[in-house]
Amino acid sequence: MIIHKLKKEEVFEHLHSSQDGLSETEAQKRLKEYGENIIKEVAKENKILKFLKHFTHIFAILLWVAAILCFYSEYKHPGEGLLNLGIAIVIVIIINGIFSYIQETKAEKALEELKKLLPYKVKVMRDGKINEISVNQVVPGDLIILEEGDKVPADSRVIEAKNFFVNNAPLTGESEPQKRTDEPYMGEYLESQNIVFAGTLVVGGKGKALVFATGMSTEFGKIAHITTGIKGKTSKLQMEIKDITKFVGIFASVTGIIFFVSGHIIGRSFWENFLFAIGIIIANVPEGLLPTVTLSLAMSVQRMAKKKALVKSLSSVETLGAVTVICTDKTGTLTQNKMRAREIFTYNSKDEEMLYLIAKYCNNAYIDSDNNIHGDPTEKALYEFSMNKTKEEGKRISEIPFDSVKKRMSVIYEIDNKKFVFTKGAFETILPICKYIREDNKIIPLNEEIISNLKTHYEHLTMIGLRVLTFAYKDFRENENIEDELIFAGFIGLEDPPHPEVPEAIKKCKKAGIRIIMITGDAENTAKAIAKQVGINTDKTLNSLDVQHMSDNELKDFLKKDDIVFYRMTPSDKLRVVTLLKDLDEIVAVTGDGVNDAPALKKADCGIAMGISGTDVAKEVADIILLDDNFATIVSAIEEGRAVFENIRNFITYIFSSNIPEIIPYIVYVLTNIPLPLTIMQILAIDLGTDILPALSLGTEKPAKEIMEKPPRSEQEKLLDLKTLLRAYCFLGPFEAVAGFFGYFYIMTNGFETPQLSTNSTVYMQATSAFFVAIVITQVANVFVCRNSQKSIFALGFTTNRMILLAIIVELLLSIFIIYTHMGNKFFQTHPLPLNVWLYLIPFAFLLIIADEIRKYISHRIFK
Amino acid sequence: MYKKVGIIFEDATNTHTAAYYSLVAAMANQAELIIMAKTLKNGSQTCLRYKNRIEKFISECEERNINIKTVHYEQLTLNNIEHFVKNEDIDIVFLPLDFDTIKNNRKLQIVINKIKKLTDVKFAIVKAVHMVKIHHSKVVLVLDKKISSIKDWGDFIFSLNELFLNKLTLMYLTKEKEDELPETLSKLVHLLEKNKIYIEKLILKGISGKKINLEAALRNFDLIVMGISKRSPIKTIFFGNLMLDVLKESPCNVIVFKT
Repeated sequence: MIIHKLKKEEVFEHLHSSQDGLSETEAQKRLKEYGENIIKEVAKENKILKFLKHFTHIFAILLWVAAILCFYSEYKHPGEGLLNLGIAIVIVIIINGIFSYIQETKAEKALEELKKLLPYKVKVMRDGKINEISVNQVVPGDLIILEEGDKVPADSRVIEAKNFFVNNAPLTGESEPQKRTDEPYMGEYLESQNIVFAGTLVVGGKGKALVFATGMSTEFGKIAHITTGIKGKTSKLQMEIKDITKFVGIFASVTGIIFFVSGHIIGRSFWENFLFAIGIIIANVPEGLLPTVTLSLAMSVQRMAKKKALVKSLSSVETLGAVTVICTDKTGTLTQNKMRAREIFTYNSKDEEMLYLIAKYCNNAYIDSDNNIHGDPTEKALYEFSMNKTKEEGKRISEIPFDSVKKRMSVIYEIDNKKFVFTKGAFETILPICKYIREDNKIIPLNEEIISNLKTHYEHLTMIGLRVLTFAYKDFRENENIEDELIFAGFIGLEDPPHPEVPEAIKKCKKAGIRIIMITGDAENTAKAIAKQVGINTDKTLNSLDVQHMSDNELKDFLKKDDIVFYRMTPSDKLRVVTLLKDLDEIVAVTGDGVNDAPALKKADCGIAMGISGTDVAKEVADIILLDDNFATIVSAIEEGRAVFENIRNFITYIFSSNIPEIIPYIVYVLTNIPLPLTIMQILAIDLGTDILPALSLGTEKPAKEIMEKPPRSEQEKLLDLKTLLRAYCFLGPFEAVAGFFGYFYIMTNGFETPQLSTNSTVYMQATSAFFVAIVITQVANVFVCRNSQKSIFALGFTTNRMILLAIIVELLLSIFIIYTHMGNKFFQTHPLPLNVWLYLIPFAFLLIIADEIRKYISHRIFK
Repeated sequence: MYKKVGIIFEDATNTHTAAYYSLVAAMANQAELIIMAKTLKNGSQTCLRYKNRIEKFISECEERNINIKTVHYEQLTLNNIEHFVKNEDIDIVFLPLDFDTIKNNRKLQIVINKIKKLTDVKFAIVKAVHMVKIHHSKVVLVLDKKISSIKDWGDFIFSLNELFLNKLTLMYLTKEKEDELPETLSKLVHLLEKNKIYIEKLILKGISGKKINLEAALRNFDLIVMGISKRSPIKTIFFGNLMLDVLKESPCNVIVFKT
């Protein structure tokens, strides 16, 4: 690209434009030629495919198969009630799918709402008039007018500049404001001072620029290309849920087939075995698991949103809980991104007033009629600091603007008919042009001793993390070099203070075994000082050059250490660090706000974008958006994420426990020839009715106090491990089955005369109802014991999670509806039970609690 | 060798970029450049601007000692271009594509199919992303095993190099685990190296337009040069079309040769 090397006139010629801008007709033509000025969103999953996914996972497929078998069976043997069952299963699949889809899309919608708040207008010159148009209508050749606070809409060449400063941080990570001029630049295109890039911000002055690249052709667009090219990740939770569904699916199918074959061997009819196989499959499939996981995650998302963390994909909640390393940037995340003057130094106390005077007048910040100060952050801080400390009023005669090479600016000011030169800038550029200093009301020449003294003070201020500016002045005399033989006035040290909650949050992370890596584009001293203030150890530091000289293996070794500070880093260094950390099997959370951070955000297991300072691209690719840009929010979110994992495991235990009393009746039915103790419709009533709310209430369990005192769970630790499976299938489940059979046989022994009952007989229906009630009652006890796999229920308290109490009430009401209403009886083939049956079953609930308390006590003693 | 290089000069800014590439081709082949210009109603503002653009381009060509001929037409479409090209004896036609065509799958497919059917006409289809004259410091050539007219490619690359003093990257996409270039491509490399053109070889495993665009964005390429896809419409439905993907999503200018 050579546009930066061209003269203004040549730029107009190349872009076929003029000082009057394009004509409206030409602009419309170019819009057709080059397309709208939009950055295409990172390729999203097709909505239809996304919707269909909820109907084609293994559980759903199994249920589809069961439904088809039911319909086929009805076709072959009409009137056996299988049509209703088939319809019920299809309804279950549809409700399940729609519900999961709605939950998944909710968070995305919230983000789209957030995006609507962003400004979309820009001022352009067309047909010689200034118009305000939508950013997406900007075309190459448009002459745009930019002022402080504007977001640059497209890559443009500066044509006119008045104290024009841009902040390229969204693109390059460099937070220092960059001056822009309209002069040709012979250096590198990306470093050119006459180019403003799309997505960057105007932080001072105003200017006009001619657009030469729009949409995906801009540098901003190129980053979007790179970002889309990086493969998205599958979260650990997604993989584990996939594994669980696979496991359950295979288990259900295999047991279904085994019992079909064994039924055939013992001489049952084909259709009896068929029905039995369907029953086994349905009993094995925890139909409520997937919607419960989705709903539980969705509730966590809402809780996180209240804590100012907007989660875009549900599974990120749990990923965040597994995070082992946080790569955080400094400005805005650890710090408040609010520059303020903290320290001043003058050689002589009488110079203080002069220091304030220079800070106020050698400054392009200004105050508007609403008392708002405008300007770049440094100048605003200086103006704010000095505005009330000096009453002198003056008039600016001229200015030598700030120059990034000279690193200083000067003004000539007239105060009380006397002209002064005021200069401010970097220490290394101001000191060489200072010749004098004030000492006891006398102006004396600077000597070696004084210079050394000044250097010591300067270094002290930088060591404590301040950005130090040096101020000087002199009386103005005509025909004299302006920036020469100045009188040293003093230093002002500025700081961007950390968020007050950050040190505590870092402490919490360390306790929770999470390593913190600070990656910043700032200088070493500033990075170290902030790191120290927030509690990050600064023994291990590296800069971009060090990183680039290290091989992957060397850098990996370095990355194994605790507390690392990377300074003067580029976004590509950041991406490399994240990639290598992932190679080391770390679960990495990365914070970022710039466009250039997008690849690292996407690469990370959990990309965290800043809601306030973040660019659209960063927000688009991130998994989580911090609405307050505060590091402490990440830690609260991690806490929530860890709790989510525990809660999901707890309700998996709860859901899986009821599978056993659902499966065993079928096995007993085949082996002993007793009437089937639990019907398929009753199984569905448990899995998708009575179990759902209690399972969900387990999902609302608050994070335990000690949750952030444990290290992150290891890579090997699975959601459904052998321990959980044994507890559900071999301990809690059999208890419930025993209770069920007790209820069933209680009715049978008291009411039946022959074991060969018709499925419509009252005794049989009461017996299956008793089995159903037994499961419901023991599940009430189970919901309490599943709240925590280690802690005693008495230590947790029975009323600390009110959602559980509410869920139990609903569960019981639903059971009453199923057992005692005509509709419930008809649909679920139940019959009202006498009260004493309930009373006989309640002790099983207590027995279950006592048994699990003993288990917890023993396991606590063993593992203590 | 081309003796006559044509450029369809539309009243659009992206034409200027396509024209610039035709100039390169004419230089490489020491050919005559035929500017196929639309006849516009005299006196209109559009006409003045159009004339002005053509004149500027002509003077640019003259600076480089290229023989030029301007032919005017009332209406020139892909349906009647064959006749026009034969009449003028043009060897290759540079055709600028506008965003509207590129964006619309159907439109683009129709254009490409028409071009493919014109077996007697050679085309260089140009997608211009940047309207400013670009200094091509990084040009990538996407090659496949079945590359034909190595000489044509070589000549064009050679002139690109002459004109921009650039660094060329040869991108070879392969399905297999090859790290060597096939013989046909080695010949091309040899030809270029003989002409002292600096070449970087980039062998990518897996064939996709997305991959090419990603590399172009990552490595800041200014131009992608590739051959027209030979994939049938049915194959395209199932496996996608590398050329179309590149044309639609590329972050930089693209030239697709149909030789």
